[in-house]
Amino acid sequence: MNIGLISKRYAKALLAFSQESHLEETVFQEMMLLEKTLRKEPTLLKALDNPILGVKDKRKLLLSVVNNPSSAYSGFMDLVLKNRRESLLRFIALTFEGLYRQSKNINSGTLITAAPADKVLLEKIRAIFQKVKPGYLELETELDPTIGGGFIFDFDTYRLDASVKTQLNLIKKQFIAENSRKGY
Amino acid sequence: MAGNIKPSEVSEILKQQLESINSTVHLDEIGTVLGVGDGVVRIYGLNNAEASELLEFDNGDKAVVMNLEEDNVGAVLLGASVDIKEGYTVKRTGKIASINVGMGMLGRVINPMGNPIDGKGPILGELLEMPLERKAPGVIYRQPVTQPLQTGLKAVDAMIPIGRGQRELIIGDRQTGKSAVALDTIINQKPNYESGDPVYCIYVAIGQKASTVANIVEILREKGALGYTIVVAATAADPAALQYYSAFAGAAIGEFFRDTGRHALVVYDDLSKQAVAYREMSLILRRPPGREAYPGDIFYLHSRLLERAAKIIEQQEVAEQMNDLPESLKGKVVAGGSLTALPLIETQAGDVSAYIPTNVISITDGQIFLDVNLFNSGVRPAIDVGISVSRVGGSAQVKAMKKVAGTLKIDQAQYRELEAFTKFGGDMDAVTAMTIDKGKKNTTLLVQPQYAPMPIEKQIAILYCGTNGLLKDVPVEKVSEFENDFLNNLELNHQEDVLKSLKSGLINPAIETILRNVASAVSKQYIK
Repeated sequence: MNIGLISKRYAKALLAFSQESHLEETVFQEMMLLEKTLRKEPTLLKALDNPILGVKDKRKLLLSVVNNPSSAYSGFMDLVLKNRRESLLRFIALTFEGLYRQSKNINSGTLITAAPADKVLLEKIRAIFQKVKPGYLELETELDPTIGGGFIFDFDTYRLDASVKTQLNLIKKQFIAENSRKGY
Repeated sequence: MAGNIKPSEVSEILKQQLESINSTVHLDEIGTVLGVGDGVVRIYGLNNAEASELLEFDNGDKAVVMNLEEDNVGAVLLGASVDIKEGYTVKRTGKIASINVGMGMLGRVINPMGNPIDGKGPILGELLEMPLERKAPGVIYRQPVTQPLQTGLKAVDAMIPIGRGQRELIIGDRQTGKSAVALDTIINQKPNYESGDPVYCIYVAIGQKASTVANIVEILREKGALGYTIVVAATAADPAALQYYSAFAGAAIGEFFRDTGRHALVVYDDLSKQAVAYREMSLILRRPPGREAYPGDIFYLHSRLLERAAKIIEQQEVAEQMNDLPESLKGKVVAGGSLTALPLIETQAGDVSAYIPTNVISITDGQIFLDVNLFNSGVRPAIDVGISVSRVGGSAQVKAMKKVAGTLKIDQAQYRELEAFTKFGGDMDAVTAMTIDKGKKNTTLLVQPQYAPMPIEKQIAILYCGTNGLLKDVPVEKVSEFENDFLNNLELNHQEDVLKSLKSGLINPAIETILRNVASAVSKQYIK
């Protein structure tokens, strides 16, 4: 029940500490790498959850995720391990990312298109974004031919889905609902 | 054949459909699945999600928000966990979990989401969106229970009468006939359906075997009861979330009938399994466990569900103002409807003082307790009259039945007590012997075969014989034979003057004289 609360407290503390020690950019990169690794390697999370594995081994594992870990990162891992909160590390990393971006007014977004996006489209997307949420946008692009055409733009916790695939699905759904209502 | 043209493919209809299609692009709020397991997903994002909100995954699967935490959302899946993977995108729908209800559902078997599972194609006709979770009608929108709901079971209609809008618990060990009592009640609503004043029935099967559900559907079909019944099935193989929501789906369907001025009966078979499903979900969501590992709000789970059974006030202008009315029902409310609930609870070794049984006993307006010993001794329905009660049904009982069976419960209790004493042996005085004889015969009279509910007028007539000692010359083993002969005689010779009056609740000295005469004539053949 308290997963959210605990992870937010740790993330807040880490952000404040890294800001005071002027290491926020480094810690942010390290935490993002940790989150990415935990996402891509579920066995790492399982290992961290394992009560048989000792604190020393877990520390080694966590420090091996990043090259030359900063003092703030290693200190933070020691604190988390001491308090037996290593199973919440992914939540902590995600919350830290959110808090960091909020403090810097940086937004991240992903543009998914069926064919490579040209500059004009990217500029249009940036313009749309500025209307919804002014601030700096880190825009990544992805190719996904299965969407058929159009684009999907994800930013923060929002999605603007103008893909052909979704539109067709929407039409299909409405057709089925309308036909079953009329008894065809 | 693929080349066949469907009626919906006429160009004009297709054009109309294309015109009504909404292709606007919306800004959706999304989250990412962090972890999934045991029917529960943890989602990062969805900062504005609401409790009980319906979420949709990319593959069309659905989930319902249960836990709102600081940095993640806990949701229960309404489908299989294997279809959802870590990293999947999940979208808010802005709607709370709901079910589309309509008259086309009658005679169908559906899952708690309202999708048909009987292979008979889509549900046709107009469907209204009813929320699964909804506040019960407030005090001013209700009225006391006044109309009877006949179960067709002599023991119940005579001693534990149920009124429309009541919540009567059916409780007992496994294999004591709990579902049979509920099914008999559903089957007994057939005459109402045929006379154009139906009591629509909803049978909610929670955590039962799929074969049992199929069997129940077949029985209902055989008895001609499926036409006015909807079966909501969340079988043992379904996820805990579906089993948990099935009872709410039943209530939502019942509310559709209740709020449109009609009468409905909902059977929850059974709430013990629903409680177990909710415990499973709560423990996986890491909610703190309480007594018997059930979460702290297990009482509220059942109380909020059963409180939705109600008899709605007759004043149309008041009923229209009903609290928490869904958008789809606005302008369609009709006063005077009712929703009666028959929840079932399975006890372990007759222990009614366990956690869930005591909770539900205290919530409901009475209970029908089925005893395993009575069942084994051939008393079926195996109702233990001593601890079965109906707290509000008395005022809804047919007057004639009230007059005839008014003392039956006390007589039977007295008989049970005296019977216990006679087991010690010794001589009996004439009064005691007579009470015991009458009690034995009344017990035999109350025995009734399964799926054979009896019309109220026949119940009154035969119970009149029992309570007035008209069976004194009939041997105990001939009581059921007497019952058949007596009722056949009435049906043949006194349809208009006796049975019709009794059906309308009227009993007078003239009718009593006829009943006495017929009983005396029939019983003569048993005097040795």
